[in-house]
Amino acid sequence: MKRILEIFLGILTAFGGFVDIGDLVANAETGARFGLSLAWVVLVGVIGIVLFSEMCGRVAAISHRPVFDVVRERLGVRVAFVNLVASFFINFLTIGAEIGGLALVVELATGINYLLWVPLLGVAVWIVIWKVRFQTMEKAFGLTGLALLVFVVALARLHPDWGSLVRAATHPSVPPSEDLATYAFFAIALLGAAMTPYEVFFFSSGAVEEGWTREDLMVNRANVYLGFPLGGLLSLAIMTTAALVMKPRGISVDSLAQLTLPIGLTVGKIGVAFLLIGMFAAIFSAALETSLSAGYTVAQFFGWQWGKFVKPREAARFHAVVLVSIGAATLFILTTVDPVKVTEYSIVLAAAALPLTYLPILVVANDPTYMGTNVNSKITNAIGSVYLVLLLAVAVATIPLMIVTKAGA
Amino acid sequence: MLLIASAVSIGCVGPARSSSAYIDKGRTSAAAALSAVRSAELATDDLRRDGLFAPQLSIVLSDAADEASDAEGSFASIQPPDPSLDPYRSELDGVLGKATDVLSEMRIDARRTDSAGVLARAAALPSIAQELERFAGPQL
Amino acid sequence: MHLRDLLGSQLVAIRGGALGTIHDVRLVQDGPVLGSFGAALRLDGLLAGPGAVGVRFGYAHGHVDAPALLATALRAESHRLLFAAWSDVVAVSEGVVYVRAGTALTEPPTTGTGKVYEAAFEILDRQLVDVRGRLAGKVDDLGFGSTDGSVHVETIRCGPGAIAEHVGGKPGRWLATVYRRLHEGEGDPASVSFGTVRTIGPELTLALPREDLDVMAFEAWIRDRFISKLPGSSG
Repeated sequence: MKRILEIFLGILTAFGGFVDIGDLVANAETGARFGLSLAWVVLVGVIGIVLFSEMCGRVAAISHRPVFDVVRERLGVRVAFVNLVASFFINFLTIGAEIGGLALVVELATGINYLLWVPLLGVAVWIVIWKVRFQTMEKAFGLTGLALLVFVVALARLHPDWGSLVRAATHPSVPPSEDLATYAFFAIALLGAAMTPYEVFFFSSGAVEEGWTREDLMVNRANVYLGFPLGGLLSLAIMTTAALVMKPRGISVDSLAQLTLPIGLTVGKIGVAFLLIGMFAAIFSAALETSLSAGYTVAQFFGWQWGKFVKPREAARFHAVVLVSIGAATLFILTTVDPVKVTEYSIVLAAAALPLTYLPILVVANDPTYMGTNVNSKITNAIGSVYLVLLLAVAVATIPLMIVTKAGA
Repeated sequence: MLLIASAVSIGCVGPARSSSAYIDKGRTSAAAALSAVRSAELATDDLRRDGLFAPQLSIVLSDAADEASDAEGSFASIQPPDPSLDPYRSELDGVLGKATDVLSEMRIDARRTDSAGVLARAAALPSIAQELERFAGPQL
Repeated sequence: MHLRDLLGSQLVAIRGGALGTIHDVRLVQDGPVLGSFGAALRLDGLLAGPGAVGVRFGYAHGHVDAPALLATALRAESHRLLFAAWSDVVAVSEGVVYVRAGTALTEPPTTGTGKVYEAAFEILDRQLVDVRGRLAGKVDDLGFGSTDGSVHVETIRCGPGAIAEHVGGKPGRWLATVYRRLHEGEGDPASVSFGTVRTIGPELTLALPREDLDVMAFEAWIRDRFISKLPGSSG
């Protein structure tokens, strides 16, 4: 019984923690501009992150090697260092986007300018990492993030014609007011929002922290196969709500504030309260994960002690990197750069950088020296190879598309 | 040639390359302002149903006013390539200006938590939106 | 001589030509007894070939053969790595290793006792774990020593100083400068005798607690100057 409850909680935590500022921004913007024509990308992204996370979790459980150990072992020091610099930079942007997003949510709740909240929230994120137990942190924020299910309620209250929604989603087309390049660019953004690299660093390092073994693989799979797709459904709920409320009115979404409008319309003030709480929790958990990932990647590259499973003084360099990363990201957001813009760049660059971490993991998941008998099945390899080709194509196409579409303007 | 280049770089009115590019610019500016106006309308709908707290209303209207003002400013900064487009310019400029004015006043009312004032001024929005739609073209 | 001096160098036969790029080094565990490790890893020969992409993935070594897409793409490109015995090596210089005239690359030998390791593929860049299971750095480089004419692995080198030059380019030089600044007065990067190694696998386990290793100097410095000043650092 206790085991079932554990698994259930794990799924809900993965579910509630799936959405972050990137998903909120990408799904709302896309829904308002393209209706449901890019809904299929969310499906592709969810399958991708499920595939990737399952492999990382399995590699961590069987060989006790987290992602960046594998990156260095398989790519060699020179390429892995380039990989580290790129991953660290994108991670840094993401931390900034999440902290900025948190400040925007608090501004929405209080009316007080978001810049005043930025330093406070930076400190808050760091204190939680420093003091709060790993499991408690994950569960508390993950479960509270489920308040975002208010989007599903809003959707239901709109009484949409489900048949026509399904038709729109399964017959994607570029709307007349847009062009193919912008469509492709937003597809990449949505993919990057669903398949965030920090999620993988965090997930894999967490598996090693929690001492997963072969016995835990089933729990791993439950969390991943059920929790993440549910998170994907929530993303689609956000996209559909924007498609039904914003698109017909010609409203383009470029701020978090606009997300309160369809919720207020259908669920009233209580819905808005849930939205604000849910956004805060989901973004806070993402801020924690990304900040820890900054430490994980650097420490795992150099071989330093890392993790929250030892006392802070036993992982001094790791904690120093986390602290400096949060500090630098906070300062970056204080330069009044628009957090929503930072989010847009971070998800697009994250999508482009995916092969850097995906490829080594795919290889190691097939290596019997690491995995024993738990190497990839033929099906996993088949789907995995398709994704490899896809991610390489995305990586090549991203920068040109960003230039041509002026980053989706 | 040098004069135009330096004028553009100082941020003064610069030339658009052709009539269609200019109309395109007009379309995007109108669309941006339309989005702002419609956001404000949706916000007032929420207000009428008591579906929004004061801070959110204030922020949405503030963002809308900024967006309309940006659209107005960026359209005004482009020189029509042809004198035949001058009437188009002054008409669109006028509508963008109206949008900015109304939204700015709504922002002020919202910050003073004067809901009645917000609702009263919102009555001007539908006609402004209709005018903007003519310039923005098909959106759906 | 260090492992990274050999890796990436060109293998050239005297009065012959370039035989390929050295991608790995074959070690056989039949050297003299070293510490508690057992027989030392003797440098048996060099593994060279043309390909560069994905050599570390293992497809060229025959260790991994899935997914099919990658295996065919990379195996075709890099062929197999071929062997040149260390006894044929005449000189090691910057970027080049010279072998006797007439030396040709062959298949790696299969006879002989002693476990065989491919240094770059199985030992280099792996995580070091101390006797208590705690993380103690990476195998950043291997140092060779010679006794009675045979060369074997003597030390593991650890720390940014060991990899800085090999990271390459500006970032490598920056890393080296940062490392030197933080380690005023110290000479070479930290090294650990290979005799303290207990097992070789996905990670290398050591027979010592990590406090006994020089490699923890930077960690201790950050801890004492910085982290332990923060309240709650003792957990």
